[in-house]
Amino acid sequence: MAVVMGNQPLDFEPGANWDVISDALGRTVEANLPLPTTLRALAADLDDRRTASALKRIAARIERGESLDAIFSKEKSTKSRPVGQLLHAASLTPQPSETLNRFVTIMEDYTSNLRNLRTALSYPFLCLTLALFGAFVISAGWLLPNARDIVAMEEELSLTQPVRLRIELMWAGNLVSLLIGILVWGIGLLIILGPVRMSRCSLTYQLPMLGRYYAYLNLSLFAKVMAHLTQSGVELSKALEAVAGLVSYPRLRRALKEAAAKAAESATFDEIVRTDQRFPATLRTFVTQSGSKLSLSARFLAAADFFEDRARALWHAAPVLLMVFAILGLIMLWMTYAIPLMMWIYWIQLLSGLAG
Amino acid sequence: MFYEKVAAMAGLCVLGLVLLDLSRTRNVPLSRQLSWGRVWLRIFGWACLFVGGFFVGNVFLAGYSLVIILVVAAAVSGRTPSWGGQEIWVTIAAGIRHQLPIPSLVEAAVEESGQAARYRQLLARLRAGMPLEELVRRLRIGRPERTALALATKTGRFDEAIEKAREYRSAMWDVEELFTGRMLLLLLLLQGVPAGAFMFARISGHFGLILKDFGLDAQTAATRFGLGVPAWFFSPGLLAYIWTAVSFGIVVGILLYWLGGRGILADFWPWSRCSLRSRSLILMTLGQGVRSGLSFTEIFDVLVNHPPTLGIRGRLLRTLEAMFRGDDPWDAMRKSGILSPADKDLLAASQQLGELPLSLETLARLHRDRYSAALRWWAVIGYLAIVTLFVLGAMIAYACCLGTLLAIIFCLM
Repeated sequence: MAVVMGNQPLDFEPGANWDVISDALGRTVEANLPLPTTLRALAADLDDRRTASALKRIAARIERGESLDAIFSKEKSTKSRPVGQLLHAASLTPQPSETLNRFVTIMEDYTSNLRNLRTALSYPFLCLTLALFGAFVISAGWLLPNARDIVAMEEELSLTQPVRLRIELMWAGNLVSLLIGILVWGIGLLIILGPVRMSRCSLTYQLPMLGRYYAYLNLSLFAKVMAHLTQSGVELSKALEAVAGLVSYPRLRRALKEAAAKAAESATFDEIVRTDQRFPATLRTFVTQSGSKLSLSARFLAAADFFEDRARALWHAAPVLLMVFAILGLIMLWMTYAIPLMMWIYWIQLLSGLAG
Repeated sequence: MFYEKVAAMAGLCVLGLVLLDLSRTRNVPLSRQLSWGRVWLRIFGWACLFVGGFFVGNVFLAGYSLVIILVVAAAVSGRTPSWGGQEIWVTIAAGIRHQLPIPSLVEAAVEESGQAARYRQLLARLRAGMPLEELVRRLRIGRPERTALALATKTGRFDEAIEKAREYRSAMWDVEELFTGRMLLLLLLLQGVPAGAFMFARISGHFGLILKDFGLDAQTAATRFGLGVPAWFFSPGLLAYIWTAVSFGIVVGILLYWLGGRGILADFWPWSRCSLRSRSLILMTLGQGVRSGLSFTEIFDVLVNHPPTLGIRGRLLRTLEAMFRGDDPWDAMRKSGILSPADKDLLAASQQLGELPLSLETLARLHRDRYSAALRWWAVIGYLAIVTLFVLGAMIAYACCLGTLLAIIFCLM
């Protein structure tokens, strides 16, 4: 594929693996190897055609005299944006090559932790698929024909109105349950298919348990990068702005952007965070501990360690959560079998004139 | 009257939802979370939702399932006391590791979780200067962590205690997940059995009609192929009993496991040796205690008051009593089934060599690994059960379908 050499920013081919690209860039820069030649050599070794093509394009643009930072800052694709943000954040420090590699590792940990969600969600997702399938089969194959018989009998016996309404309500309830089930199933499927993509959506952070897992990982990412930047002596407002581009938690990103603007007006981080409720209470306590002898970067590192531990604890609580799902699944299946029985009892009541 | 009842109950549900929305506590400052008005709003909100939801649900024939869904939603949202305790424990551990003041961190964690009302007393006592030991005693955290911290209050080495407890948890996490995952998968597959049987019953009805068209009945078709399986084997009643028993067994097994590990029954059974898990945890505590210069009676006193597993307290108490009577500690531990004769000899020898803490820790790691290997075996057994279930199901479906088709072919011939 020919490399476009115009003045306009080049669009990278969709589907390129940006984890591989950022890893390649980080390692090449840290090893002080010539970027264009190394990137081309790496591209030649790659089986993934799209990623190889993106690496070749980056190499071509570097040869044209563009800096890495400039290449990615012009890039519109949301997938390649984190790479650009990483480069920008690393370029703020006195040793960009070392920092870049460290940031790439941090980002890799973050994305791999998000991808771990697939394993945690697989069991409840399978349970739900089975329950939905069972509910659909039983509703269409058993309940519907029986309900028709009941309605026919009711017409024959000319019963009062609420009986028909009750059957309609039963059906509405069944349908609503199925729809809720399908909605939950759909959300689960979206997260399983693209756990990293879903991290950019505000609604993800509202989900029970999963939302907190996403939030803890973002907070840990924020604290880790901030620890490195503050340790390297980067100006607070610039550091906050750079990190705001890296985190995907929308609420935190907005708070960080505002904090960066306030820091530019010479406010300290303690002052900014202390009053802003968008920063979690624990983060505020970790960073603004007045009695602590730790430096700001050490406090950020402590916060990162804490949020990572919290995410890990949440992750390992999943089996207990799955037990709840398992027991619910069992009871729901029993319920599904009980419904036809209840309908039969109701039918007998109708015949004997007890209901109505 | 019917319409009025439905409307009233639906209204109750809406009122409950509004009250719950008004009483939201997440991301709200601590002082507002602690206001009694908010607590009462929450209680009334849940009461309205439960009562209204249950009665409206009954109209939809789903009243009970609605209650179950609410319970699951509460569990998933992580507002259970045990999860709250875990979160505070993680906070305390981080505070100790990084030498940060614990009370303000705990306060922040409680504020963040939106559960300040639940921990009202705890927060008040923290502000009054409650010691760390008391704080930990009030939390619902794992038994091994509790033991480690109780020992740390005597030795003063909180860092080491937390690190050891963390190391133990990390070492067991993977294998515990493997075991639980396999058992849950088996449970899930078992739920497929009645669903499959239900579908198969409907399909076999159609097969019966086809056979009838050819002047055959299912019984003749079955005997023609000499299936020779007793009738009770296919009895739905028997299959339902087996299914219920196995499903129930798995659920109880997993619950027992989460209560105290695979060896919980061994720990309760006084005539057997205690489980590998308990043994490894006791040896780990002994190792830490001996390294810090505590006597055996002091360490056992901590262990008796904070046993690391559910069913081990009786054995620990017997050992402590024997030590007070003047028995040799290793003999006392062997007699109460905490140590095997080989363990006892090894530890007695290393005590003479002055290498006791190292030997205790090595032995603890060895038993932990043996326990983990045993769990892996259970996971393999679970895997075999899954495969057997698949093969049996496929064989039955295949034999029945093929049997019907062959019966028709024979009839045509």
